[in-house]
Amino acid sequence: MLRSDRLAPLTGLLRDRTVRLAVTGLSGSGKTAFITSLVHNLLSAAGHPARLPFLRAAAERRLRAIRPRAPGTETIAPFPVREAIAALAADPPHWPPSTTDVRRANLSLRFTPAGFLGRAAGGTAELSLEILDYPGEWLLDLPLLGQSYRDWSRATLERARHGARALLARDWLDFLARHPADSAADPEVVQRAHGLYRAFLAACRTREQLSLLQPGRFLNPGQIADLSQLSFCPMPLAIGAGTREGSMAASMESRFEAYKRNVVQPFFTQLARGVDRQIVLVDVLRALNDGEEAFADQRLALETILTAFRFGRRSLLRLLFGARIDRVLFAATKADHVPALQRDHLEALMANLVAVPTLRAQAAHARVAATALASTRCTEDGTEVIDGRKVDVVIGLPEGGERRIRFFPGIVPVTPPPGGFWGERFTEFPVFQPPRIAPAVGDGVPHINLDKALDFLLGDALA
Amino acid sequence: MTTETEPIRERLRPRVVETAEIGRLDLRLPTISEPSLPLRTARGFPSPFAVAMTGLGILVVGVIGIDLVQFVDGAFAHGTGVGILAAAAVAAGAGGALYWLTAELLGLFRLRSAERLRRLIPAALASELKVEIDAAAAIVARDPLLGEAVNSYRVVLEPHHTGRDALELFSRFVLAPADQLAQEAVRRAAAQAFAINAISPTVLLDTLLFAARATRLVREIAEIYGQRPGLTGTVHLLRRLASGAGLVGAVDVVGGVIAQQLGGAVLEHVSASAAESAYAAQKMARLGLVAMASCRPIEFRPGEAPSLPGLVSSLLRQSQKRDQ
Repeated sequence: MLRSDRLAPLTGLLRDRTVRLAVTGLSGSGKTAFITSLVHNLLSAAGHPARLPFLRAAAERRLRAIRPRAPGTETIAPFPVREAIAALAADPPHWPPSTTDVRRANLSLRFTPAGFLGRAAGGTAELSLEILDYPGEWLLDLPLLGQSYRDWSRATLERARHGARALLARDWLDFLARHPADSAADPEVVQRAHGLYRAFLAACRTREQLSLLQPGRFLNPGQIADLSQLSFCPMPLAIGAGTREGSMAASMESRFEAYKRNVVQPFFTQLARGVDRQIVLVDVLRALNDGEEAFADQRLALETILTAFRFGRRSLLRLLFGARIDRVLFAATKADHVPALQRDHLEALMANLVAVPTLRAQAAHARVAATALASTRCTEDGTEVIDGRKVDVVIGLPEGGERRIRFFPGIVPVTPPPGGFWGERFTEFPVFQPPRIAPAVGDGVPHINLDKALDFLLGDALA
Repeated sequence: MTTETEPIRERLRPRVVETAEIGRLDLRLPTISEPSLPLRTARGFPSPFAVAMTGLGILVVGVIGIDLVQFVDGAFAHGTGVGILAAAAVAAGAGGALYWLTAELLGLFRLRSAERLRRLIPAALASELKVEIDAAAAIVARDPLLGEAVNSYRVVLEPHHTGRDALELFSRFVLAPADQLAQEAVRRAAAQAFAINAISPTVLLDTLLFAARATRLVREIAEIYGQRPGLTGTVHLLRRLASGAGLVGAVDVVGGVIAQQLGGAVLEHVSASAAESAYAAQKMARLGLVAMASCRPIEFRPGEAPSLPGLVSSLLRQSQKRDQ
């Protein structure tokens, strides 16, 4: 007894651990819903592990106590767990509001170790789980850190002149044509150019459902004290020519650099510091229904974002000189919008979409997997006869509606679809009402594959 | 001759269909319900052997029945009291025989159901897999020690889980505890085989005791996996074990490895007699593993099957603990 008392602090040092999980995803991919479901299901798991049968520690009833941890002295606001759960517990239940600023959820998981050494040391171990939530748009700013104003302007203008963007960018591009980059900087002109660019970005998102829209803060500024840092836009700059002092281009460039320095860099530091696990949430289904350009744009946005993260195997040396992400899970969200037989398709499509980032992470010896999940399951499977064919559908209650609908999501391809696949954009993609949950911990939140995701991301830390 | 091919049908686009159903879905965790075994499909003509055996059975039952009627009739000829006693004795005997026969038939039916599932599950379509696994759960639930494990499985299995998910959950929640129980049984039998060999005065007695213990082990393992075989079922099981030559061959390879290990590390320190006992224990353990592989409602997946070295080493560890 005495010996184990003395050993406890020592073994605690070995067994207690902190895992920082970055929940990454573009706007609307379901990050807030994921964190809400994860937190509520974990809080319920110690008493009622039946919701998470694929999380080995829960299935083996080794989770002893799970409680939210009070925020420390850090400046990041806590994730509003209570409010988010209250939204799902309301009558009628509704989705928690999406994130407008950086927030962190902290959980403390006390568990019985499964390993021989852990058990031999006696007692329990503790895992501190830190989950970071932030607006998805901000992620798109991370690649800016490695770009000059000139490079960014060239790439953005190139995109703006093609495809669906071209029509939406007409007013802004016409304005730029009337006000060349080397003309004298006029604050009103700069502000007007910025306003037109922001309107263009907003139209790209709402009318064409495009994803690669930079800078992200133009769409969701958060709580920036000095909004003047946001007043810039890309400008056509001749190759090899410098920016003349006092010109429009020079003014835009200085604001761009200030934006990177004062807005993007602090966010990246908060996000990437010490993160050792990452889940990348992708709303593949919506992009499939939004058409070829939206789908391709989402893929490009994902690949662009993921270049900002460092992957690598966890090791003592790396812990000393800056942690790296050693497990990455790519998850296609809203898996409850497709019937069971098509979820494998969704998973395969997800894996194919992120083939390039997967190879990069694997080359750095990080563990990578792809899955299809629904953080909150709102539907059940059924069948329907459509055009004389019996097909699998999902049944659910649409948000704000009273009658259930049967949704046939089309055939989900297993690889990025070829040109002939795309038809007219499907604009009736349903938003289902979430199931009503008990406000107190208990039954948890219905989900699909959340437990598998948790086992992949946290399984070794709970072993 | 012309060949008509089905015209290529247009790909169905996404669609939202309104329904008259109102209200929220009930997505609470499922309540436990007892799944029933699927109906057996009707077979064609019975085999000549089955017809012959049925005929012979009817003959034997008829002869015995007539004899018993004459026996009771003769007893009544000696007096009413004697007649009533004889009738009661015949009724008790017939009841006992009927009970035994029913138990045998039920045991055989369970064995057949388990065998049918083992054949079906590897080839089952995704949509059928859950039904087949439900049936396997119903079989294993007959073991009182595994009732709780099966209930846990039924609680965690939700309608959205795929067949593959169901198989994984069934392996984790039901088969893993069943495998542990079976391994315990194998370890006990192996330890007893060691003891039998050590204390048995003659080879004949040794062989008889070993055979009896082996039969009991096979029955124990079958019971753990919910099959509870009777006499007929046990004979059927032993036949099945004997016919699993490939499996035995695979285990023999493992057996060779353990024999080498025993030869190098342990046998130097034990007498020749003890080495024989150790070999008997190893044979019993090997038989147990084959019986596990044979009786399990779902075949072992790669990496799941217990190894002979693992079993024997845990047996040695247990005996060391006992010695201490």
